[in-house]
Amino acid sequence: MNQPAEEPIPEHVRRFIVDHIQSVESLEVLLLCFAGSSGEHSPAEVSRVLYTSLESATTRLEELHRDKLLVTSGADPMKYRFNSASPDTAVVADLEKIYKQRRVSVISFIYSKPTDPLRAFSDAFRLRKDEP
Amino acid sequence: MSDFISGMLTMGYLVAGIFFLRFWRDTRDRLFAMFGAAFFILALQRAGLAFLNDVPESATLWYFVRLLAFVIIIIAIIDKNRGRKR
Amino acid sequence: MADLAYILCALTSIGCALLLLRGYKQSGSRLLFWSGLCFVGLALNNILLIIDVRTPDVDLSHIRSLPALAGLLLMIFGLIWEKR
Repeated sequence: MNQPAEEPIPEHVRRFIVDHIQSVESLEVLLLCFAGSSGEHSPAEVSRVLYTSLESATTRLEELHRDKLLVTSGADPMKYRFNSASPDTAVVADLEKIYKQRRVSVISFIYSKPTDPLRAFSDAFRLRKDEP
Repeated sequence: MSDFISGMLTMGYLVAGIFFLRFWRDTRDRLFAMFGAAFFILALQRAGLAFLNDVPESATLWYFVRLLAFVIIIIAIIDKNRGRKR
Repeated sequence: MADLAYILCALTSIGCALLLLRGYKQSGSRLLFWSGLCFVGLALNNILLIIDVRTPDVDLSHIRSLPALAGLLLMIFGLIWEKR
């Protein structure tokens, strides 16, 4: 693992993470959809592949959908696909590469970023705090 | 209830409402739109009361306007929590 | 009847204050602290209103709104000052 030790994560990737990625789970869901570019993923599939609960998988997919990173097919069950028309496609590609090379740095960054105050405000009104 | 304080409150509610509207623009989170609406209604209520000229009966009506603002907040909270259950 | 309205306003304000202050404790985001204080002010305003309506010999009309004003000013300070 011979990487230049403290090369920071590129600014555009950091910005993207701050704006759209709240947790490692969100990141994995996004990258899963991105990698299988043409394939559609249902919450059940995502929860199976990532070993996460169905409820979390659904929440993450919905959040990414709301951020316009994923599009849905509208069928039942709802399936999600990466939005290839998204202006962030290049950034996500870079993020995928960097995550492969420097997993730990990316994870540390995700959890060190200051909480978005607006999201914190909105989340304060969630009565049940079992979402990650 | 001095007019000055009424004026400050009305302006304060308006400013808060505008901030919430901006948060809604930035995040597209419905909760902020509803809080914005609630604060605008509180501003309206405060202004309404100020122009009453001491007619106590109509005061009660204006307090129902305040209730409307809080009901909107309650709806916002319910709405925020309903999306979770699937 | 109007009493019920005032009580509902007070309860909602208290609820929001608690949720925001809890949120502040959990996230450390100061915006929630200032907003929480605003709802504390609104709650006090509503509670004083209830008391005022119930006690004909005491007139609180001049001081009822002061907690609301204080809370509102603090929240506006927070909205402007805190980073977004």
